[in-house]
Amino acid sequence: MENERLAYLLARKMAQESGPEEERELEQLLQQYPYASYVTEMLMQPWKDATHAHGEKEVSALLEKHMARLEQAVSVADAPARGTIIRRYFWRYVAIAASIAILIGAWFIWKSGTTPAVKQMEIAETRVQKTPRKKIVLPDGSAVWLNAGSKLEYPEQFSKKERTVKLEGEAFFDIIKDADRPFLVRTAEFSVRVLGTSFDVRAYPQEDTAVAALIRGSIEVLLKGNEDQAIPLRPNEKLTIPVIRTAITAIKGKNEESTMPLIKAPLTTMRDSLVTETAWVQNKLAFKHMPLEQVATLMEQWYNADIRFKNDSRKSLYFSGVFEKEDLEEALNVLSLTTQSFRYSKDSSGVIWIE
Amino acid sequence: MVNNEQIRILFDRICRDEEMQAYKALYSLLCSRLIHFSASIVYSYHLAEEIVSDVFVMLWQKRRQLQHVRNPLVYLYVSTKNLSLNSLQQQKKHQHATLDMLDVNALSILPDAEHNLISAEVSLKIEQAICSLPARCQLIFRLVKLDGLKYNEVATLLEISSKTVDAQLAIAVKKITQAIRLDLSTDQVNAYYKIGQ
Repeated sequence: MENERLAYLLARKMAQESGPEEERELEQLLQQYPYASYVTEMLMQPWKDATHAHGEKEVSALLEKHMARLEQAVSVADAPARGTIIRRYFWRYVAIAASIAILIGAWFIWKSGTTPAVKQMEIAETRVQKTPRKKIVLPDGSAVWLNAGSKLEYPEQFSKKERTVKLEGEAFFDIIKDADRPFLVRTAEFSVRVLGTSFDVRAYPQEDTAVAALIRGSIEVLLKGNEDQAIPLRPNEKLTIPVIRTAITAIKGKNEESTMPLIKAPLTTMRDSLVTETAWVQNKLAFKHMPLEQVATLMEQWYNADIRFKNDSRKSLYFSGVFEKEDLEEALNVLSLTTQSFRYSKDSSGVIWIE
Repeated sequence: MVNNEQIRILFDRICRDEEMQAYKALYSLLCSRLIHFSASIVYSYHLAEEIVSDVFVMLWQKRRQLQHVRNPLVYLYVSTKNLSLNSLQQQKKHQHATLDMLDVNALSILPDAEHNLISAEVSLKIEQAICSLPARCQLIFRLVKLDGLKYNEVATLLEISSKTVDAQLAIAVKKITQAIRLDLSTDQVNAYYKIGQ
């Protein structure tokens, strides 16, 4: 009878389902039956498959096989298996297609006579809300890493002549070479034209400068309202463009874009050839000799936090650093404690105040 | 042992952030146990691999609709069960597929010798004890001990009551206890008990 109870209690303990009372009862029973301690020990330890165990190697082989299957399944879903159907009904389709082509052709001829033909394109939009940074593969195979709080608009399918995307925020582009189809990144203030290369574009609406930085290849920056004049960038150069808010321009009533200087500068490298401008792609927050005001803005985006200053004097302290695994608290501690130059506190609504 | 919280986080990252890395991590974490579970139903590891692969393909394709799945682990086990039974049904054509005929070879588990001090003899005794259990009982024991499912999760998966899970597990543990007790002389037990203290 006790054995039944013992087995029941042991099973519950093994499954981590037993409550405190059952635990106590089991303790008492174990003292009566010494052998049961041995059984307990054995039940609580890790077990393994007796046959067909999957080690680390097997699991990664399985994963590889599975990913190949997934890729196939996804591409099949995207492009329904038309091959066989087309062959079977080939001539019927040719006939239908021909008549449709004639109709469309006629429509275009008629349409172009009245208004310019606007091609309707499916637009895909990707937003990254908080801290996770996200990689997107574009329809042409190019890769884009979107930083926090950014938005990228791109067509489901690029046109034959060019590849255009619209960016708000920051993104790192690794573009596949296609000499016939230049790649164009449009932001509110400027556009970047490339053939095949990797580069970073930073154009957050709330910041007063926008930056294009080039890692390899070559790009041209086209300023808004002055698109005939392209500014070429060489590898490891960046261009900082002051953003003139339309509101200010409106008040002044003039177009003053040319009065603010454009700054062309080399990229900032830190240790291990880490480039601060693109460190975020590797999940690192890096800055070199940067005023605290800007560091705070970076950290706000990075950690999705709200950081404010109690007085302006602290804004112009300069810092360098690389954060990878640290959370916001740890990062702030490192900055404030090592330098003793500022203090911070968190109020009840979660806002961090620097003083 | 699977950490339920970890699975929930990975599942969230897949469905909300569409993160491929999380997806791969979840597959790596669960593929082995799901394949064993499926293989016990369809009697083929090869087929089981494909079934589990299909479960994860579905997860990726339907990720946006799956944001509100309450228990991701149970969801994946139930999907695996359903696809396995479907596959069985197709093979047998007209018979009604159920969980009654399980391949116990795919279910058998052992204490991991690397982690404890049991002899080959005791290990064999345990294996025999578990083999003598009904297939359904072996499945329940495995799901709790190796796969880390809770009682209510097993109950949902197998469409039985939590009480039945309780009773079946007690039967398994009793069998194992008896096997070990018969194998150990009193001296050995006492010696172990002293070392254990």
